[in-house]
Amino acid sequence: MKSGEIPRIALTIFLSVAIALGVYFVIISVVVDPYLEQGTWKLISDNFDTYANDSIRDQPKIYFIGNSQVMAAVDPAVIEDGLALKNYSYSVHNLGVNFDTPLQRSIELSEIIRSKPSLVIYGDSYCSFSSRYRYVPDDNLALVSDRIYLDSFSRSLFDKDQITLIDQNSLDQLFFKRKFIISSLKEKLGIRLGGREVVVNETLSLEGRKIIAQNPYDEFLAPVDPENNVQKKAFIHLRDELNKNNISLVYVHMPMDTLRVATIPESTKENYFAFLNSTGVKYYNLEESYPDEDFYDLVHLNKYGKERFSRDMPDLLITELN
Amino acid sequence: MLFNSIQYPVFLIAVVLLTFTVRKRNYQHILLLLASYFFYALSGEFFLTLLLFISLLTFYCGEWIYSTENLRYKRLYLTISIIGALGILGYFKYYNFAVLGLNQTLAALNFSVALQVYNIVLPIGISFYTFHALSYVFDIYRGKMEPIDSFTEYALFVSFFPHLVAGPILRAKDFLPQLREKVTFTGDNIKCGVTRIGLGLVKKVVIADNLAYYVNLVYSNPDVPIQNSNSFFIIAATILFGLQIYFDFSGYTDIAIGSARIFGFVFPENFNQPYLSASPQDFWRRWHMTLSSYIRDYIYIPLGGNRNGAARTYLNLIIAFTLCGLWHGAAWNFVLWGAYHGLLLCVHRAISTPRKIYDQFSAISLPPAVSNVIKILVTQYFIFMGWILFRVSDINDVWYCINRWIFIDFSTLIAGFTKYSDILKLNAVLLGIPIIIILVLSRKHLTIDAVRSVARFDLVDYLFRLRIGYWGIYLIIVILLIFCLAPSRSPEFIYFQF
Repeated sequence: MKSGEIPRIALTIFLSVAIALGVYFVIISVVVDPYLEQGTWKLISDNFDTYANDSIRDQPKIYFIGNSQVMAAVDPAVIEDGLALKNYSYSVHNLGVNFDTPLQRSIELSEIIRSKPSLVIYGDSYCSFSSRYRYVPDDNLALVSDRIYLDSFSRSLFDKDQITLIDQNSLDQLFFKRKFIISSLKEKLGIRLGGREVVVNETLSLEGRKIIAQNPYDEFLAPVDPENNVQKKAFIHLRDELNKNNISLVYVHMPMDTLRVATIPESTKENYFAFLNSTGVKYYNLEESYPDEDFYDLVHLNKYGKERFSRDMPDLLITELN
Repeated sequence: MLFNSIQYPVFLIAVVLLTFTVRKRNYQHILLLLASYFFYALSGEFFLTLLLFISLLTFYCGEWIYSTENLRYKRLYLTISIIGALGILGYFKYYNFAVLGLNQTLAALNFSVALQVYNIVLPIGISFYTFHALSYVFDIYRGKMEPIDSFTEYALFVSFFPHLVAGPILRAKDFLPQLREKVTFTGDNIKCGVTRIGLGLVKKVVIADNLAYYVNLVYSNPDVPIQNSNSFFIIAATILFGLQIYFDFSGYTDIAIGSARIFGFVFPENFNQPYLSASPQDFWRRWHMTLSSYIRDYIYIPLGGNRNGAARTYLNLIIAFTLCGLWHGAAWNFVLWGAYHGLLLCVHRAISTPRKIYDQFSAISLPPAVSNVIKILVTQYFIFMGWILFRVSDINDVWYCINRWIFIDFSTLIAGFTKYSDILKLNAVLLGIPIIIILVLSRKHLTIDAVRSVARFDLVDYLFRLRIGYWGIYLIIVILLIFCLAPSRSPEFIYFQF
């Protein structure tokens, strides 16, 4: 090889890296970014948008946070109308997220506080405080990492790998998106993810609900034990931080189908309510407040249930606002 | 610092540029030594003192062994170096394992004494650099080489960053002579080195890391205990693990060999198509070759090798390979894995000795190609079964997995896997369709010879000899594959833990 080859080789390496980066950027922009307009992480991103929305900054507002049960049950317009009928002018926001946990919600805590809601309703059920099955997916941290601010205590609740994701910069985020290239392809093949709107009109057949009820891996069956865990710590921290900033927190134990209620172990129920009582947070137990025909599956209300739940909320909210 | 991290190419380029600007050989060595220590210090400054201590100990012991004529003194210095180096390795790697075993034995014998277990962090690469260093004193003791004068060169041999943390295991007599020459950068070496690094990265981050996901679904799934898996899952995960560990470790080796090649150093090869081996003996000539030859030269042969009769040969094989297993990690599954391979070698040796069982089958005449395929399949059946021992997270799962591997049973409940079925189906389609298309299109050419010629094809040689424009396209493809297909969380190299 000639002596002048080394500069040519170096230039080829440099150009190859630059071209590969360019092609990668195009793939992400054209294929992945449109795909990422859906998905759980987008719900979290939308939540951050809500907290930062200047047009509602000074309005009195109520946040419903929690898991997919909240997403399915809360119709902000119905609740706002119900409040308005009784001369309460509040904007209501459904900020529920699939598979939400107190730990996951802690990434939004500083922004919730900054946006100064009058009341925060935390809707969830047993699995929120289980140490099993409930984790924070990487995407929900990595893709909003530029918007997360964690105080030192919240930071201590995440593991090392999660902190790495939370701390990543925009360039890291760009490379993180590579994991969605295959998923984007998956969507192109016709398998779609759900968005925020999980409302469904009908109820699954009894047979279908029984099949779900018998699935031992259903996360809603994740047991709650008496020991402390990161979810419980995160919830206590959420309570403390909201209280410190004069924001009221109310917990709603969300409605469930009788088939699901029957499968929850007594020990889980005892440990769960014992924990709730120990927190001092006021809670409403709506577990058996809605008939089975109001549910789509075992834990998510259908459109009739949603309507009923949203009509019931104003009275509860007014009690708490007073 | 990991080879597959963004920091590594930056570090490598910086070291290359700095070395390029230094003219004198000695200064180049000092620079490379400092760079290697910096590379290692990133994993813990304290560990650097261990590396330095082992380097100093073996360097001076080598000199003393060579300078004395008295055999007793030679043995004394050899013993000091072995005890010193292996003592450190033993403390950091095996102390807790030994103490836990001892405590369990004492408890079983109703003694109420329990030795203290400490929280000991294993220094990265200690098994590798201890072996590098000991090869120097062993070879001097055996009269295979003379000690060198320069500690800098010796320390560089022990700690040169491409091989420092996971090999290949170098012999002093092979590497030290290469330090006699000044580091000169040539286009060929750079091109070859970069080609090899690219290939290694694809093996590691594109193939091995993606396979890890499926292996972990079965072997370390917090949602589904392994004993919920039927034979299909155990067999599939074990085969995939065999492929994962091959691509992981050979990928690492490619990056190490490629990095060294940029500086003009030639490292020994570590793999030679191990899954095409036709006997356990053949496998160990092709798998982790630098370790197996080390075990052969410094353990098996000094134990007597095959010179003292069949029984002693079998015992030597079992001892050597049990130690080889123990070298991999302080856990019973590694010990079992090593002993299992020792046993495989013994059985193969027994049946392949002329006029024994092997001859019973000689009456069945098969075409050589068919016979070779059968030998490969039978060998790989046992090699892959051995990977179960290597991979299990809990020693109590070994019997269950081996049972499912041997006695096929598809009936076990697998409800826990339903939530993964979507991604499994998708990837089966994504991977399966191209493979089926390739097989259908090439069906007329699918002969044993064709498979062999594909396997023997020297891809690195072909790629690095490409014209510069085509080579650039190769680099773009490699970088894009890494950017697009590497999982978001890249597991560490499997051999880093050793």
